[in-house]
Amino acid sequence: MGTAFLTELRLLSRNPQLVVSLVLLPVLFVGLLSEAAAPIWPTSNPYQSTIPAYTIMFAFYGGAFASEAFFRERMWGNWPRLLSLPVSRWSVSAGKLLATTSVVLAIQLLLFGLGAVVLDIRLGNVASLVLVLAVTSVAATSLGPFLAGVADSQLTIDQISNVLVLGLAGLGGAIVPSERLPDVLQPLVPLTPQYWALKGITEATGGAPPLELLPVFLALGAFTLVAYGGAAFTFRWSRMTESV
Amino acid sequence: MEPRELTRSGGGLGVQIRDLWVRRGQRDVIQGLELEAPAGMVTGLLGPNGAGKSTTIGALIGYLPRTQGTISYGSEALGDVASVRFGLAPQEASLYPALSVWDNLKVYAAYAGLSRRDRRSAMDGALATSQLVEHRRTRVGALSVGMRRRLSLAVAMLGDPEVLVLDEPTAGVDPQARVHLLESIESYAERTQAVVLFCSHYLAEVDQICGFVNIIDGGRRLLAGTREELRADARGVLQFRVAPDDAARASEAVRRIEPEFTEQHGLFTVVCDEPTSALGAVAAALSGADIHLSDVAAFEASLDSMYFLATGTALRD
Repeated sequence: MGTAFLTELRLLSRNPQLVVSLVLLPVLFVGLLSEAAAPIWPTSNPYQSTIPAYTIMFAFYGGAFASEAFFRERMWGNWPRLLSLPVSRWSVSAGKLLATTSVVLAIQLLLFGLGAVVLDIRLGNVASLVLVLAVTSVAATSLGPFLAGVADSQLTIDQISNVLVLGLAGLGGAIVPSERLPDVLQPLVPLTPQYWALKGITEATGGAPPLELLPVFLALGAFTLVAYGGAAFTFRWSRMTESV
Repeated sequence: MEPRELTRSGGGLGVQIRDLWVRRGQRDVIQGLELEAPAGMVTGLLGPNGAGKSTTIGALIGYLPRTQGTISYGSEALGDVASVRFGLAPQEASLYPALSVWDNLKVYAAYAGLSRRDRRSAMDGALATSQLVEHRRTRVGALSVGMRRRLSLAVAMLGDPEVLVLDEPTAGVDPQARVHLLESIESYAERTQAVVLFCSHYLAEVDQICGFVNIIDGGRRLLAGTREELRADARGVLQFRVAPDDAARASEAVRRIEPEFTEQHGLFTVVCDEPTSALGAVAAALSGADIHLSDVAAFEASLDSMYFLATGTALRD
């Protein structure tokens, strides 16, 4: 698993798209929209709402990067060679997912850290916040194997990711507060991982200890299980060995 | 041309595949395949596109599930999870283009399970074998096709695996790189006494380095034997076409010259010892009968003629 983890980190570090999607875009959104959108957010410091919202929205692009970690190997024709070596396919997969998850978490921590230092946002119970961000990172990247299983090209991954990330972010309150969504959409709001991630962040920054966040962890864990359950139907190792 | 059945037992211990069936989608791609690859020599696996070569490799290594059959290495049966060390150079270069040559070797040496102590010498050896010492820091994506092929082969050989499987390792490379690759493969088999399974479409390459040859098509083995056995059995092949309306008259004329032939919709396939001489006689006879012949092909007795006799000459998708 260590080799897969380190290799994936190296590959991610050479992918400029990662910095664009997970760092620059949320920073841009926060910078451009926070003041203008201040009236719709419930906090007196708009950044206290927009930094979590946009960080979480873009963190779910982690699913696309996790998917790419599998699909890229297929594109380069690496899976047959990897599967011929004395390393289990599960440990390679775990290494890839762990690397992507770690990077997504590190970027979220960086954005919250910058928010605290530069824009005076409150971090509240830091242990709770880190836990919420960690579980959110796991949930975000859990979409990876599912997407890799259905995709036939990088373009497909990007398009499905865009629909999922933006659609779920909109429903989950990461673009505008979920209370402002139409009544007809309200029953769908708690089905999104973004809703639970933002709820967890709100409670953690309000000082809630980790145990009080158990429902948040369970909800995000359930989403993760559903995503991996979906992958059980879409992901086939034999398909990974076919060229694209 | 209809395939002819001629199978033989293989040489010494190595990889043996018995009654292998592999299903992909709704189709049995491999249908009762028998195959031998003796240790200590390069074994050719030949077949047209869609014959089942890559699927056979997948089943041998274990990443494609088999529906039936046994695969053994020496006296040891291999399960779905391989218990021998494989090295594979797939059809595609199968490397990390974003990483350097050295980093690719480092990654695959670790995946190959080499201890930290052995890794360095194995990687240095691989760099030397592939003659890429000066390019160790070059990004693989910036290498030429030939250099990538050399690296791919060197990666497959990391740690001296007991079974080295090479799927068209010389595709797309220049003659110089081809010579280098073939020499490396031959010397690997001699040095390590490993099983080396060599899939290629280049019959001359197979004839040059393979001590044992398997020809497969339609998921079954059609022909197998040592290079010497195949050469001894080789017959020449003459093929030509006449108008279907002339086929009956042409058959009478050809039968008087070479009795061993088949005819299908005007396409004649004549098996003979000297196809070039036979062509002259046949052309003269048909010309005398006012029959025009076209699409003429003559294969002197060789691995080529055996291959075409076994698999036919029809184009494959």
